[in-house]
Amino acid sequence: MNAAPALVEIGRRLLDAKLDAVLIGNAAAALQGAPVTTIDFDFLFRPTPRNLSKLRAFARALGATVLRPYYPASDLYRVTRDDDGLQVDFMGSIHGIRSFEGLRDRADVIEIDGVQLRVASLADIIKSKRAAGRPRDRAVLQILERSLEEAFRPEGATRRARARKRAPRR
Amino acid sequence: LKKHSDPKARLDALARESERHVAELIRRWQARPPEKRTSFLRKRVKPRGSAL
Repeated sequence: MNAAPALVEIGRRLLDAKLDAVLIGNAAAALQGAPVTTIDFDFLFRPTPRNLSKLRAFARALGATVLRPYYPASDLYRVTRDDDGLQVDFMGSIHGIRSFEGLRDRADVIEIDGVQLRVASLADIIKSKRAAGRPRDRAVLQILERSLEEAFRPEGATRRARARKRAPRR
Repeated sequence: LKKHSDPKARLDALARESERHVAELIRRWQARPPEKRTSFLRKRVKPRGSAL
């Protein structure tokens, strides 16, 4: 299913609410070049009182509700919209990432239909999933790591490697 | 076509085929510009519902 309409709507609402957040998780990994899928969108943000107020405004504008975390210490705020099952999770902290500012500095800005989204780097996504170590994180780690290798592979390297293999040994 | 009767050789070839497929999948996905890599959303289906 095409995530572009949802990403555009989320990006616009984040901008309207002036909420600074970085897309993380599998949605970010897909935009960064890893062929993975997801059912929701995850963001890292700073859960300050001001940002929580902006988060409520963001949810209102989406026609969604903010669910309070079952474990308040988790700093997980889930924004859900019943009409279409849209789910956007906002986290105050994630495994393997020390600061929001660091993640934001390393992130890329990706523009979809004129809307800019800050998307975490593939290296940071891998670091976080490796540190979290849940079975579902471990399940995608290999494909994320291979995608990162491919992304940094110099143009034509694969063809050269194949040619080397075919070349007769001296 | 040459027929491989050795089961180990067949399974090794199958594993290599699978590896090659993953590499191709990644290359095809990365060949798109980032803003076109958006077909990654799975639909949440309610109990007894259908995605069709």
